[in-house]
Amino acid sequence: MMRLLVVETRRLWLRRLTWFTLFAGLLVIGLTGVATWQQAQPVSAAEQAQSDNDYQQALKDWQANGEQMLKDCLQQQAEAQKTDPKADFQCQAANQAPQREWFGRQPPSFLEIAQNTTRNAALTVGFLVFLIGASAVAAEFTTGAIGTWLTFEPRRLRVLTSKLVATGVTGFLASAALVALLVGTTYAISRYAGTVGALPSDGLRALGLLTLRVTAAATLAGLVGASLGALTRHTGAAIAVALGYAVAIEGFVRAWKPELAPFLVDPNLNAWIGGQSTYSVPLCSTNAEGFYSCTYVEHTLWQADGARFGGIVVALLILVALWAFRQRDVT
Amino acid sequence: MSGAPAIETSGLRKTYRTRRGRQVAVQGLDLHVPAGGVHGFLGPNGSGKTTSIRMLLGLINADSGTMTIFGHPVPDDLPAVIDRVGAIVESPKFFPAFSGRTNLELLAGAIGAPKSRVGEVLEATHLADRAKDHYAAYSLGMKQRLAVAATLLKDPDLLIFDEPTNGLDPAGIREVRDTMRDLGQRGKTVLVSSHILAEVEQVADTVSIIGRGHLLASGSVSAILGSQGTTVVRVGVSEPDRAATLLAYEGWTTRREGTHLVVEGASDPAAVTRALALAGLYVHELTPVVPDLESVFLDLTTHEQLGAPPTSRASRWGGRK
Ligand SMILES: Nc1ncnc2c1ncn2[C@@H]1O[C@H](COP(=O)(O)OP(=O)(O)OP(=O)(O)O)[C@@H](O)[C@H]1O
Ligand SMILES: [Mg+2]
Repeated sequence: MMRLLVVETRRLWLRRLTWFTLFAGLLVIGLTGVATWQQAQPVSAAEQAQSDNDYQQALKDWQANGEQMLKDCLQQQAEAQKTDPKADFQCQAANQAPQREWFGRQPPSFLEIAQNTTRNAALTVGFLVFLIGASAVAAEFTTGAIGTWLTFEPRRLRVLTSKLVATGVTGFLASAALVALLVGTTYAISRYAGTVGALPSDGLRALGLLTLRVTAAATLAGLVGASLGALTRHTGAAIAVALGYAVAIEGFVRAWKPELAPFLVDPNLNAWIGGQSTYSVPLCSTNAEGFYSCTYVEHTLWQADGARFGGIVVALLILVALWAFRQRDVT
Repeated sequence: MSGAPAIETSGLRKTYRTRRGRQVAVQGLDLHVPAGGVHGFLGPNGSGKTTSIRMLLGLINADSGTMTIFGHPVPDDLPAVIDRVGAIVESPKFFPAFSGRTNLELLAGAIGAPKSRVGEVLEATHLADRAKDHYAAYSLGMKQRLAVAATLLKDPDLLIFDEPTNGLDPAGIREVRDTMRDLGQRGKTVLVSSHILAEVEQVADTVSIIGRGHLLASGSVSAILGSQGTTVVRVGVSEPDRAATLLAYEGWTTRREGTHLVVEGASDPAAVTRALALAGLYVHELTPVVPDLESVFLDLTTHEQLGAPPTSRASRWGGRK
């Protein structure tokens, strides 16, 4: 088994497609870097002067008219309360003194940018790793090399298991490298721009955990790819199944039965990566006067829900792939 | 386990699911391949040779029947014997974007063969100087050679070659023939399926002929050829027309071939001479027509396709052990 694992891992890294995929990942990181560069720019003297000016203007305006506006607001509220005693115009909040930070742009800190880009990169990295796994396994069927392979190692469960484990290891390493590179580039850019900002240890820890969660999700995507590759025996078909499912089935189910969200990939993935995700289910009824109305009840999926869902789905898919590979003819 | 035949199948059956419903590829095949020597596995296109080989190697599932390799029931016990079996099924299949050497190295890694072995088998198959090229850039013959090289990685006791000379040039064909003969003489067993019957006739010790998924004849090459060899003679006689009438009257089937007569069913050629001499016809030439494997094969398999009962034929050759 160890021998097979070594050979399969070696084969994955010998494949051109693995390297093309990693190269595509680098391109995406490069593009993200450009956006990061723009965001991270410090505020220029001219921008600073402009926003100072805006602030002074607003302050002056408030000092001159603030009291009157508050009075007007309260009066209108009192008027409204004659018909609806619960009317609340939020007059105090709407007429606060302007604050300096409301004016002008604040360059986001490294931690803020890194959290965002890492979260946004999850889907791309996951898809790239999926592609590595799916094409590596499917190519064996399209070329027929799997037949040759089985005349050297006929124990099918071992054969596919070694491929899955190799894909898992490779997917983990590839996605970890890509995510690390992404965070590293972001830091370098923030630093160069001089807008790294505060680096509190809990913020760093949160970022570290986020990168691990994205890497874990991408690793699972690789296993899904390898399993679908073995089931469909064609890279294109594996991609079509994955995309078709994501777009057609998930989209349809979400629109048709929102309460099934806990059984869909997208909300669970968001919960896993972002910490939680919410979905709302309409509660509709027709009241005594015959009016049909709906209220929306919001539900939350937590990180643990996402983890459990992902684990179960991938485990089931792997079992199905192993079972099918054991049974089916290889011609 | 030394006494066990290399391959034994009994009642082997396989149907494929196709658009036109279930297609029977192998039906009740009883194969017996003795250990040691070269065994030809012959049959027309679509008769089930590749299907049988795939079942033996556990690539496809049999519907029913039993199979053994060196006495091990397969596919269940395949892991125990696979190291003794090298096989090329139908056409060589490797990763096109890897070099020949890389392809072999991966296979060697899977069975724990030393890397030096890869170099050796590349040398042996004359691929060493093209070993670094992508497999996709190989000619058909080079692909075949690489497949042979792959089977040699294991130093197997049983080699299964499904049309190994397909695409090879005359020198390549001779090489494969010599390799097979050499392997056979070294006590290895070679099961070779081929449509070049002259090739098979030269190297095979025993053959099995199948048609439509079942066995038509099996046995040593000499027995299969010999069983027909005594039955046909070519006769040169002074008055062929009169001779033909006379022999037909005596119960032989005859046919004119130029100035000669071809007499079938003559189990004893001397009887033909005697009958003609008694009528005053003098024989100046009498040669037994030794059929080659090709004519026996065609005789068997065309009859088969025309729907003659296969059992009587199989017993007629009588060579089954
Ligand atoms: N994958 C498949 N699906 C459906 N039918 C198949 C499949 N493979 C083979 N067959 C059918 O099974 C029968 C036997 O085919 P097989 O390939 O075993 O013949 P063969 O003796 O190897 O022929 P050839 O000399 O042409 O190589 C044929 O009728 C063929 O059409
Ligand atoms: Mg064939």
